[in-house]
Amino acid sequence: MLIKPRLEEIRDRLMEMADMAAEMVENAVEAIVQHDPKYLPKVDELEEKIDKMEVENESLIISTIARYQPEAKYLRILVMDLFVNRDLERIGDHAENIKENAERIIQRPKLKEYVDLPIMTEITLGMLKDAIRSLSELDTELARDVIKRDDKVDALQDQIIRELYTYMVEDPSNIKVALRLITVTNNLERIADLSTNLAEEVIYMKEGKMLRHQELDVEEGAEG
Amino acid sequence: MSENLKMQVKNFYFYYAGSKEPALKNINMPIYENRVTALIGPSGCGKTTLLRSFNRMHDLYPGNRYEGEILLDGENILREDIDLIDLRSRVGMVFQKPTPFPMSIFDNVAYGLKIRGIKDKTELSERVEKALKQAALWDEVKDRLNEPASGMSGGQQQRLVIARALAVEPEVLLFDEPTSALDPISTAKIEELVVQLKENVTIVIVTHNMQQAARVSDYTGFMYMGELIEFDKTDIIFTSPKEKLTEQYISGKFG
Amino acid sequence: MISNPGYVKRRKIRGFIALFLSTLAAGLGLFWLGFILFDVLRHGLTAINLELFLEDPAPPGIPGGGLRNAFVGQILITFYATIIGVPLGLLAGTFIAEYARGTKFARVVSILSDIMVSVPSIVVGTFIYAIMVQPQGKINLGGIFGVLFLSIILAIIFGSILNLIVKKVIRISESKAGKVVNLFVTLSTILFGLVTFLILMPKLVDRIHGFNGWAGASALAFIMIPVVLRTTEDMLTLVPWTLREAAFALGASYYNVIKDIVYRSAITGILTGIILSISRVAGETAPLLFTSFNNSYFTLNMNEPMASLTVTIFNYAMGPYEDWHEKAWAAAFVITFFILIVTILSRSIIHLKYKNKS
Repeated sequence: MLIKPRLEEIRDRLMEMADMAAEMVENAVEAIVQHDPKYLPKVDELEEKIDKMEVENESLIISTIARYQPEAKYLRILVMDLFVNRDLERIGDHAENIKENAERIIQRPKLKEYVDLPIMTEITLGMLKDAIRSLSELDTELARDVIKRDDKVDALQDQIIRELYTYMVEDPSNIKVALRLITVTNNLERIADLSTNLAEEVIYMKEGKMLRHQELDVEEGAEG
Repeated sequence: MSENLKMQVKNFYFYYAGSKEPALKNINMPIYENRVTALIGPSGCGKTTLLRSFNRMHDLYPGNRYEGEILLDGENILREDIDLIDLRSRVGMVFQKPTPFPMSIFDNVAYGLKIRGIKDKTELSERVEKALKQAALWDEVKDRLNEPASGMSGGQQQRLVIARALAVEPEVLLFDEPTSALDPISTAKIEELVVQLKENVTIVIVTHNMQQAARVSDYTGFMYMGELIEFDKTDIIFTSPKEKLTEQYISGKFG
Repeated sequence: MISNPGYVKRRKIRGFIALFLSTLAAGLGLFWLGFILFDVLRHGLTAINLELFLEDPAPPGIPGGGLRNAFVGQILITFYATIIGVPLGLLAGTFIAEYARGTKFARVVSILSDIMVSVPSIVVGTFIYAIMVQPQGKINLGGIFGVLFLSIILAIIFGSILNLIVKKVIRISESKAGKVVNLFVTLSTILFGLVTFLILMPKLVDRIHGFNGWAGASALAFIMIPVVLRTTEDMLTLVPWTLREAAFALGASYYNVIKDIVYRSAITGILTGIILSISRVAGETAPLLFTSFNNSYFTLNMNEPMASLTVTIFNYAMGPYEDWHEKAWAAAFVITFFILIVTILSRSIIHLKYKNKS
């Protein structure tokens, strides 16, 4: 099949992009946790690369569809590649957002030793990395696992926001930093959502099942 | 991906014998080394006529006339004193219908070498084996090299013809609708072969099957009424052509 | 829609009548063929014996003897006719089908050959008689034409060999150098023919006069040429043009294309044409009557009158002796079955060839 080398090329590029997105998130959050701006330039550098790559990938995927007229599995893969491409770019955008907030946060003294934020970051990054791994190996089991983990991130975000409220009430001068931290958790939550999207896209690629806006347990119930 | 120019068509006009109207009008296009260039267009658009100018097949019929230049490695092949036999060993051709010669499989592949005076048995068999391997045919025929080629299937015959053309180690290989007489499976094999072969030769393929051009080529030229309407990367021609006519043809509005 | 049973019935009756009549006609033809073959077989088999092939004729009226002179004469005349007629027909056919393809000249030659094929053989006989046998005052036309034919044949052989050698040594192309070489070969061939003619002329011209074997062979060759020419032309035309283009695209010269591709593709058809033309002339009497005439004695000298089976059959069948009639039957038997076998053989070659292809 002449289409295969093209699919592999696209897949390789997406994996590269995914790794970059993960690295961006890692660096941006690390800057906050370590209270150190040295992690930040990397984020900008990758953001630029990812944006460029998204555009290139998109035309590559579209021309592949036009040229090879794929059907069934190959069509699913290519359409999902298109979504994955966009999702990864958005993850990059969120990382960039985190980075912008991080710049401000670092300018002020540390509010507290972060406890939940690193955990939330870890879970989110774990989701993202596992979503990427499930994509590279088309591992739907791992993808389903990623989707399940989304709830944890939501819970952690609630937890962090509640804690930040107490700091803000304690001392209004904390509000500026606290609000920025809340924004960061929002970004992380969105990244977790997008990772969930990636996982859903992997499942559709492999199995042709649409999981969007549908709880995983509904799917399981329907199957059982 | 750096592109080296292998051939170049410059202000090229072609007139069939006895015709005052040019069959090809002011064609300008590059042909890049180790790339597959496809020519597409509705029937009668002149794509085969252009292809057959690249190895001067039109010279077989008296009265045909070329104007302009076709450069092969910078040398104009339309010159009067060009050695056609030499040219045709540098620019090979594969035709629409399989054309096995009435001889054994081995002799078919060896023919081009034999008429060039290569007689050494070991050299002949080495080069025949190499060509058959390049054409992905060796495993199917290695035990029956001395059987007549007419006993092969259509798809095998076409790959034999490709092997025969490859045996003389051409720099450019022209394909004139190579799969129009073949079934889908043989067609897929030939298409894969074409893509593999570009590692060694520059390929120009004429096809009435637009999807085939899309699948195998790196560059595509769209021709209409004897003119080259648009030439660009295949990715671009099939997603965002600049000319309205190309867009219409690609989306099946005519042709 | 079939609505009228009467119409269907009429149609069936008509069909039956047509079938009946054509079967009858075919049967009639077959009947006479069978009858002739059977008659020849019946009379021939009783008359045939070993002496027939080994002994010369006894004097008229005396029983015994054979027809050795006629058998050998027939073989010699047919052999030389083939030697003269086949190369000329083959080369001319190749020229018409390849080099001159599509030209007016080719069409004219092709039509003329068709006419020549259907010219009655006695006309050919009298034509050769007029130019090679009949005394023309002081000029020995027969000798001149005999030497001329010989020179043409020799020149063709010379030219073919020269061509082969030259093209083996030099790698020929269709460009200017190739044209020069072709011109060289052509000119030297013509020159060779002229020189041969001039050298042989004084030596051979007076050897040939009156009825002679060469004249007989020439007459038969005249009949063969258009037959071989037309079959060659037809067979070469049948070779798909794309096959030639494929060979040209590999860098083959036209010479290579014809020799390696076209002849090879058409070889069965051409051979069949040659064999059929031989069997066609082997049964001819009329062209030999006025040319090689007849000879009661055994001879291998083509410059003398020469016996042939067909003329002998004609003479013996007309003769007054019972013994002669028997010998005529035997000779007729041999020649008929020779032609029959050759024809069947060549047809089955074609059949085999096409069977192998499918």
